[in-house]
Amino acid sequence: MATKFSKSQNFQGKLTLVFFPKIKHLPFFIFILITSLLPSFILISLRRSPISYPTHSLNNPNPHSPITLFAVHSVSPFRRHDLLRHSSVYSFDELKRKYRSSRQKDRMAKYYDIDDIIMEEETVSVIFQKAASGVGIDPSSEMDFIETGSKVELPFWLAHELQLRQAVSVNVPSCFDQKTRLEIQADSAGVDLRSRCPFFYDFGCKIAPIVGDRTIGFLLLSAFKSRYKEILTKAHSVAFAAGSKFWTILTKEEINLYETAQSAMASFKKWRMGGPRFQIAAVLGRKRKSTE
Amino acid sequence: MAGQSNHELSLFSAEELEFIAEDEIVDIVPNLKMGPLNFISGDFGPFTPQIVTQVPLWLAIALKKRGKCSIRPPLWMSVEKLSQVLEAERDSQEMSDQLPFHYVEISRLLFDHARDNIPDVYMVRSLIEDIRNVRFHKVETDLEAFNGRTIAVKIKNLSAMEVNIVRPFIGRALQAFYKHDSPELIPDPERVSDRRPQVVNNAPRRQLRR
Repeated sequence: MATKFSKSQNFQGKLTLVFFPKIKHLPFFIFILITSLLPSFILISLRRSPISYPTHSLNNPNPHSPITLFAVHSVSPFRRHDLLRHSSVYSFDELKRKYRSSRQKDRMAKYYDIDDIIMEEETVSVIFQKAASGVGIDPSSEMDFIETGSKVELPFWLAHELQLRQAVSVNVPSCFDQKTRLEIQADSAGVDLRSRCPFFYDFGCKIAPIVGDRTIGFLLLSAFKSRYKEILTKAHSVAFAAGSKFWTILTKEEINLYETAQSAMASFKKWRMGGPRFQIAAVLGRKRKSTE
Repeated sequence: MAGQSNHELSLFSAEELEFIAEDEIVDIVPNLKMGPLNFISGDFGPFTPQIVTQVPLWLAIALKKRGKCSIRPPLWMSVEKLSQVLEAERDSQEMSDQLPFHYVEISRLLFDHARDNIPDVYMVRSLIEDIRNVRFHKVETDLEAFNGRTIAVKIKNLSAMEVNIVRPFIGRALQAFYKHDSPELIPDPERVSDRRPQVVNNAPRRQLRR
């Protein structure tokens, strides 16, 4: 069919011949065109229509409007996507992601540090300065609404982020209270810091500027100074390697210190005692299994 | 130069230190005749029976293993000398400077491969062990003096193996002290007044020569 056109036909004629060989096919063509584009038209018009999502934000200057937090797993995936792009509404996951990505560059080295991540899960008690709705923080609570002035335990990363927006005020955590301080002053080496907070020092460093307590820095330094001596005397002697009670009261940071010393000493002892000079890779010694 | 065994701590393993120590020069008495050996590190030999010559420790051990030489123990590796060193170590808090940098590794290598060339090998061995313990105890007492203001440690005449054992611990401890003593955590009014005011340089500026 396409080969039958004459030379007098213009270029447009060629085109129309290619798509619809006869003029009577034109309505079909238009129909197909419209039906194929219809879904996207509908989608576009849907997008344009205002989405009635709550627009209260944490940054909202009006102090009386409640802030809105969404737990992402409670909404459908489609809405979740739109919610997350809706910049004034925060989900927990989004908050956490924002928080972790907004850290300063020197802290970026710790981005994948598992200890750092665990440490930030440490709970602190906060007092809400603004009312918040949509909060399912406490599963036992009857309604998902938090009134101004209520006291809630939040993980550190969330408390910090909310504190930056003046939504909450952070209390001094219990591991830095007066009782612990007195114990550290009395006999710092014997205090069981691990049960109070496994990341006592790192957590202290992070919480101090947030709660604005200048004395925490002193507490950390004096505690570490005296406990350091205790670790030093025990670290390089192998006799203590066999599980003693000493282990159980150290914080994670102190254990790291203790273990580096222990492993350096142990590898030296191993070298001095001799033993196999040439070690055979585990792969080489293995006999091949018969495949029958 | 950092060890390859542990990237995180930049720590040498004991085996790596032993490898480095094998470059130390020792005296051997060969019992074979051989021309000089030309290595990158230098020329060694020629080897003539009963004529003392100097070779690196690894070569000495290789020859010794084949029964081609006897190794002369270094001068410091005698009972009298080591007893002197032990006395000196016990008397003062300073580390004595009479032992070579690699004494732990060299003594271990010689005990392993050339025990028949060392007179009183058991005595020498226990003396070296005692010296090492005394010295290590001194290092520990030095480390006890750490506090927040410590920014570096200076211990004289520390040997390679000793420094390698305490290196990871010191590094981490200093880091922790530095972190907890940082001025943003501890705004210390005392320290600010402690710090001496910078001496104002009133001397007229010297003209730079053109």
